[in-house]
Amino acid sequence: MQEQELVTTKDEEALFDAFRSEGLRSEERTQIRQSLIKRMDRAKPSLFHRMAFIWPAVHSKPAFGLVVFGAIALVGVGMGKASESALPGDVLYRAKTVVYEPVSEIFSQKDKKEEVKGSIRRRLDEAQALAIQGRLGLTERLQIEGLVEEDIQKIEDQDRESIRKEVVLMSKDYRQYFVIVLEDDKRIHIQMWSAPMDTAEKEALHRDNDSAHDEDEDHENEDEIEERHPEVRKENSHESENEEDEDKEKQVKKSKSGSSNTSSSQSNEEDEEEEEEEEEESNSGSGSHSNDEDQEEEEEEDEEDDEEDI
Amino acid sequence: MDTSELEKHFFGIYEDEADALFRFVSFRMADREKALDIVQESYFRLWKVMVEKKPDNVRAYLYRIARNLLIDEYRRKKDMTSLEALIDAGFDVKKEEAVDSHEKLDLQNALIILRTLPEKYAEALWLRLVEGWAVQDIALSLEETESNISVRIYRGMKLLRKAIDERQNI
Repeated sequence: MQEQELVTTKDEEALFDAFRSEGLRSEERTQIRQSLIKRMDRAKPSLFHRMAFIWPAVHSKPAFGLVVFGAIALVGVGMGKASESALPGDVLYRAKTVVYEPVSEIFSQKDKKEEVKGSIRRRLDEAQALAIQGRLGLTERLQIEGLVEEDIQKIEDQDRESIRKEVVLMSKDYRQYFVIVLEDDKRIHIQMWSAPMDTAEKEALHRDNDSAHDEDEDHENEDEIEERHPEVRKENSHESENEEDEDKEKQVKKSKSGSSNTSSSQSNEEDEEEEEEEEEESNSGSGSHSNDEDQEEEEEEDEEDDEEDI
Repeated sequence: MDTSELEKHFFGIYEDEADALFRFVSFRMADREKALDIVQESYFRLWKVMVEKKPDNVRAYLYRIARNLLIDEYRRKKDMTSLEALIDAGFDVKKEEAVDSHEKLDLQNALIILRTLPEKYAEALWLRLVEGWAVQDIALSLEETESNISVRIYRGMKLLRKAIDERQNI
């Protein structure tokens, strides 16, 4: 069957050859190649992918995975224990300070500050041990000092952080308090303007209103008393008339003092004596309307006399 | 395999197959620029596969990727190449190279006839007769059985000859 298919005429073969002559142009080929290189660089396999051959093995053989995990754990624990007694200058000291101690701090139940203090104590012990062994050189000293400074910095940072947290908590409390006060204020306003009044508030309001009414009632009572007892009203009216007369006399005095500047000194003295007498009369007895008229007439006459003198 | 070795191997495949793949794509895709994009994307996807695991038949895998990308492109644009579009886009076959004085069949017409064949026949025919692939490789690439591919090539050839005859009679 395949042999039959492959039998082609000369013309057909020429046609297929013509098809085969078609292809990429050189610039297109170069361009695609360069683009591929760029994209391949960007998509280079990560370390995870490079280590990917481990996962199928672990997945297919769990026992193998357990063995690998156990081996890694054993190596890690052994390294940690071995580095525990390492001193500055030892090979494992770096592993102790960078890996073992920070990891043990993470899993520790102690307070962080206490952990850091313990670390400083360990550094001091190390310095002591080195001094005893006679290995405490400048390098070791500087290394220990650097680590201690780091620990001190940690403590300071923790203090700063704790203070900051306290401040944040306080500010939160104040904010909540402020919100509560505002809400209370708002609620009171709403109750005052829209909600029905409580009985206590009503009583308070009634009390205020009663005190205002009492003053009005006093005035009303006075009027009623005057209506019932006209004598009282007269006395009151007399009192008011006397007050009016006194005012008038004062005005007259003022006017006289102005006119006396032009009259003679003798006439002034006489006038003054007369006025004094009149005042004594008015003060001694109750004033009446007829007396006032007489006084006015006398005053007018005095004035006319003054003019004639002039 | 080391990354540099893998890259070397990959670019070896690129140099060997780039032209043929472009022909395979461009005989089904009127737009030359899009055909170039599909070629590039096919190679990049092949590279990503090769980084993790090298396929058994790299060439068949590459064509399978390209074929899937072509199908995606058809689905996206519904832009099956019409005869006029194919001519306008220019399937850059030089007439002087392809047609001698005795040749009765016009190359462009032949290409158009090939494109008018049903997809499954045209694909198999192209890979067998133009690219010279073995039936086994075609079957692997098109994800069909070898007997199916043989039948397709036979029937496709019959249809092509019939179409050429009709064209010449006109």
